[in-house]
Amino acid sequence: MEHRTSALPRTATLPDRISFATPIPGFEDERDFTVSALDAHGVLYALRSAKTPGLRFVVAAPGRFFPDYAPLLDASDVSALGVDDGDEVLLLVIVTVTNGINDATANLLAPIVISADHGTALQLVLADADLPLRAPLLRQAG
Amino acid sequence: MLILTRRVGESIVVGDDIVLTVFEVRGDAVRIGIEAPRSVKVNRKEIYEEIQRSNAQAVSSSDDAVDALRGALGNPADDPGSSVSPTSGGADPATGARH
Repeated sequence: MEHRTSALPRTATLPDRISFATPIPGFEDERDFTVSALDAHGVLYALRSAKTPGLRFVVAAPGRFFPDYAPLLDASDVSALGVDDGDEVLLLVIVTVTNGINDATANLLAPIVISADHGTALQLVLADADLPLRAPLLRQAG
Repeated sequence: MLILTRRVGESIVVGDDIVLTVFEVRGDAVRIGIEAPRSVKVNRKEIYEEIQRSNAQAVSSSDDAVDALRGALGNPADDPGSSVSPTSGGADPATGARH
């Protein structure tokens, strides 16, 4: 069974807290995160560890940057998230911005999916899709 | 580490429900079939490690850089601004409180 994710629509309600059904690779001890908007446009959000102060991921709703990006969940993902048919699954990509905004990248290979209904989350590994781990977020202006 | 020798067509059983089968050996490449329950994630190790590294890098994004990115994304042309939903627009970025 495949389950289509939905790029976060402007009216989407992300849960205030999410719990990763499977830990994010590299952060095996971190399961619970708070979700907060970083802007008024529904674009950037922060996922902050409920356990480790200062540990936060910046994530973005991909639709504005990558309008055609719509990975599918496979049956194991659906089962891990605990979603049922018709449940909305929200899609976010992890943003890395180190030096300056022109270096900002988004991880399209391993997006985060969230069940709004259950407050569960997963970082997918879309290994078969040949997607970039570091896709430039902003096109160079001019 | 347990090391076993297998020929093409032979298998290894891990636990009760994971079977690894050697399908083809060509030069230094081996094609391996993996049967495992849906709940068991199977990934190429180097991809998993790349994602680990990328995640570690992501959490080191500086607040200044994130603020600059927020600024650069402000007032998107396709966003009328007036239709910001209270659920995404009313949150306090510092605390995540939305009540």
